[in-house]
Amino acid sequence: MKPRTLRIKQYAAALVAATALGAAIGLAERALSADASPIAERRGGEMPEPKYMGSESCKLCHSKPDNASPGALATLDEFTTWDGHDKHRAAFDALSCPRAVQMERLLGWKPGEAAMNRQCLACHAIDVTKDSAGDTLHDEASRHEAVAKGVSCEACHGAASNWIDPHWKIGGWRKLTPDDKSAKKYGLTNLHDPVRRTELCLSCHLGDIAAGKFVTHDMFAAGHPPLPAFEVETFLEQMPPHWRKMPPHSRTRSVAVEGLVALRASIQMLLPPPEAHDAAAPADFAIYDCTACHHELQRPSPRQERGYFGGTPGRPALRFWDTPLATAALALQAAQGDKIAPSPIYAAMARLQTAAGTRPFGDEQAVRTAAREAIDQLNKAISDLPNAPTDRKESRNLIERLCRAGAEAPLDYELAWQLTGALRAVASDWEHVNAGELHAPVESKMKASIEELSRLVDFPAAPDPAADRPTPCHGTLWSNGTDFNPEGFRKKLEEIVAGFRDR
Amino acid sequence: MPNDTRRKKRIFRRMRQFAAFGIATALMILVGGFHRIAAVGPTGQDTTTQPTEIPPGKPVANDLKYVGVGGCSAAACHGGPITSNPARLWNCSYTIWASQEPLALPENRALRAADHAPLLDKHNRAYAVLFDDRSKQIVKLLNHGGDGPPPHRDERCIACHSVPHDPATVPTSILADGVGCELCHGPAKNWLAKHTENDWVNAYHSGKYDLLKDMADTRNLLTRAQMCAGCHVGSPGDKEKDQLVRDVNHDLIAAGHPRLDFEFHAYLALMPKHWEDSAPSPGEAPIRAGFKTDRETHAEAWAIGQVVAAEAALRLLVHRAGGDEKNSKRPWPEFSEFDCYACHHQLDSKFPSARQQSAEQRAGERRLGSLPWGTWYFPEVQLLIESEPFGKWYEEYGPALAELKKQMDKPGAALERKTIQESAAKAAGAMHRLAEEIKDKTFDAKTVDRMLLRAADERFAPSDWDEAAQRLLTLAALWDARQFFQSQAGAAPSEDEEAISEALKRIREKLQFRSAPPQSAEPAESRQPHVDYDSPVRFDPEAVRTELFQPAFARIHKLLSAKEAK
Repeated sequence: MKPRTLRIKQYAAALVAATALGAAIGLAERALSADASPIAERRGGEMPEPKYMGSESCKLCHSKPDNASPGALATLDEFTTWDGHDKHRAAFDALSCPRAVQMERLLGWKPGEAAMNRQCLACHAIDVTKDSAGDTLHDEASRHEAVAKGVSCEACHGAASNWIDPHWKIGGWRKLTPDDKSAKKYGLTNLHDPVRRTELCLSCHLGDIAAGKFVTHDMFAAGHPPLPAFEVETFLEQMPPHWRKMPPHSRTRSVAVEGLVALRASIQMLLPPPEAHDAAAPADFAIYDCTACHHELQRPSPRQERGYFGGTPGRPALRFWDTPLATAALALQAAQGDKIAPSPIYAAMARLQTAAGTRPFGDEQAVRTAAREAIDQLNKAISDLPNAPTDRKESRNLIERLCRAGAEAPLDYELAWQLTGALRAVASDWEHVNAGELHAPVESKMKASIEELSRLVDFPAAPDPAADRPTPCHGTLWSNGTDFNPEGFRKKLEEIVAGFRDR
Repeated sequence: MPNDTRRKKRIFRRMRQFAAFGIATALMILVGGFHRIAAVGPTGQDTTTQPTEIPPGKPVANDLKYVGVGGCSAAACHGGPITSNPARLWNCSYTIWASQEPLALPENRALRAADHAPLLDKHNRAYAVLFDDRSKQIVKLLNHGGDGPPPHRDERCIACHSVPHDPATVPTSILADGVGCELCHGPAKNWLAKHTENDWVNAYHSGKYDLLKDMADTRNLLTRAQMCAGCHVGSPGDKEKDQLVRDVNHDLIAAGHPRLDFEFHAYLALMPKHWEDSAPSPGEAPIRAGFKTDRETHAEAWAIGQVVAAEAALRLLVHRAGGDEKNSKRPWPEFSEFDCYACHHQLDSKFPSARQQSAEQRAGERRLGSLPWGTWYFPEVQLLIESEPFGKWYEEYGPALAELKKQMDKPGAALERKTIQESAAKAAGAMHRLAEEIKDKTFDAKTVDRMLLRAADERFAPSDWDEAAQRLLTLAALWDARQFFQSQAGAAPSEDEEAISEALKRIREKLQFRSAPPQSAEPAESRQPHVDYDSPVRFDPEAVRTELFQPAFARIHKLLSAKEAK
């Protein structure tokens, strides 16, 4: 095993790199000059339209060799990590893989169109156009080069024109709150905020119709791989980290947040997109639960045993893999004596299910009304989420809630896979601070049960962060769960819950 | 000459075995849809439900003219012992229908078409299955877990599983017969007594049905096919006659009802026949002059069945599209109009994918990601009207279907009720006229050979299981027809013919749904328990085309072209 301390140091080093460097330079500058700081100027003022600067701008500082300074506060190897090991770097290249070529043919596009079509670029690259390019990307060639880098720095950290200079040049940068750095002043996305972080991942990995990020049913039918159920901590674990290790129990917090944020994003897709975007007709099949229709017909039928949430059988169904996580998160809030009463969300969700099942594709007006209500309720619940990392007790509680919600839920492969990821993440928090206690029978039994769950869903091993990133053109990407046995999985979940009770 | 007779007998025996195969093919392929009803096992009567008679004062639907199977089943009438004498089959027709045990009666000429396997007439259990767990599950899911009548009093079920009238207006004794005699032969009140008289018997044998009030001419293939299609495809019902809608829509299927996959010729083969079905052997006199048995009309039954099923499906579509947004009884779009397995297949991220490759080969035929419409009911009608022997038919009957197909090829939410309703009505009219044109046609040996050649078209590339299965059923029916003509001519089956039978059998085996989970290295207890698939799991259109159909086609062409050359 890689020494834990080394990894921690690596993580710790990564995300603060810019901050640290900025601070150092800032201190120096402040010492040298009494110039009016641009920070002071900006305060209170709106920032200009953010523009993309391209990852080459970041490379200037952030491209030290891998692990060049593992102990340092800022390792400055973030670009190197991303460029050499991260699949996001290859996102654009995937647009010329045989699979993409087939998609072009089936969609009736011109050869090579995928690499230019905004429907693809919205998620496979950063959206650099003449209008959105900053002064580093003044010509066509440099803009193309920036797009060809795939999902590069600014895709997550935000278009950099307003913050690229301040974040290293300017005094006082370090003292700014993350909100100051983002919001309306600089536009550096606050990725420390689990809500914002999860939203950002979901915008591509689930979809954000308003932002033009939406894999339509036609695109899937033409060959786009299915988007598997999203679990933020699992997906982060699959990335080679270019950030510092999050504080203890942040994964528990992250999973709890994700439950609500993912449910909100999923419901958001039922609302019509603003006029500006023509990404999808409201009733595109892709806004519904894929596996509600896409499953083999068999007897006994898990679909019929699962039931139809009080709706009529046989109509396109809402996604449901995001509901149990939200249930667990809400139960957790309620258990902590929070002010938030979860009941309005459930009532709104029930109305939404009914409206969606009234007829195929739902009663449009009723769906929208119920969706807006549910989103309002979720907004409230999300804004009431405590910001602080959680503690061991909360990790333990969330494991129990997740297992309960899962055992009561209509399990299918997607949901089971997602639950397993969430459980692994939360359990790793628990393990992290309680290494000594892990030998207690309950903990070790639980750990074994979670390993067993992982086996049942063919959960992927965490990749070696030092491995070269895989080539962009894959054949088969993930297990489709044909042999998944929901009852075996449910039994395991119940075992874990029972283990807690026995204690 | 004794020698000659023996030879004839030998040949005939072989022919019998041989012909049985074709039917077997047809039969087995439908196992997916049909055997399910048989699989429920003996029914435990629901003791919690008290038998209900008609409440006093409640109007009886349409002055109900049913008498129930009890009116037919006397031992001297239709409930006599099963006999091998075709001329006495009428005496045991009830007995055959009512048997709870599959019948294998090789001596019974009526049953010899299927003497390879015992057959059970499931119509007698149509009502009883409404008491089993699956039926209860279906109704429970359809009622969203709320209250509603039990399946045996639910209109949606009763409409096909017993008489198609409001169950509250029908005596339980009649409901409980299931699909009894009168549901095919017509309500008997007006003819029950009369039909035993000489006048009647003469009228029956001379085909003068108009003398016989309400009695259906089930010997007429068109009438018979329409009767079957009323349930096995569906029907909009008839408000004036208080007839219930019969519609196995997608709601019902999603709740657990098997999909419908009616093909008249194959369904006939599945029934233990309680009517005269023997073709005269060479040199034998026909049982009844002027009457053609099913053995002599394989090709006709196939063609009529295809057209009738298409018309019934279109009439049902007119009804389905005719609802409005608020009418939850007619959901729209109605997904059961489309290919089940276009959507119902496990997703995976495989590349290249057989499904997408096939879509690419058929680019332009239909919109990507849309729902393929009418994959079960229409491909073979298309074949029929395009077939060489009937060249003009396509111009006459094709365009209405093509127009409708275009309108059905839209993403689900964009399907327009009104225009589709109009086009479907037009297409149904075309099919109706075609049925009228076809009903008295006789397909002779030469026509059958030409149809076979046309069906064995080497360009045939099934894009889905439906198309492949329907083509197999077509080949089986036409092959049966050809076998009959061969046996009439006294020809022994050649090696080529046996090879074709084998090839068809192979297609049938490969198209059958699996009854075991996909391969898995995992220990059994942690994986899916045993399941029966109602899906063609991992159906590969290209492999089916090249490895199954092509070899069979090549042999058919070799055989028939050689013959033509002679």
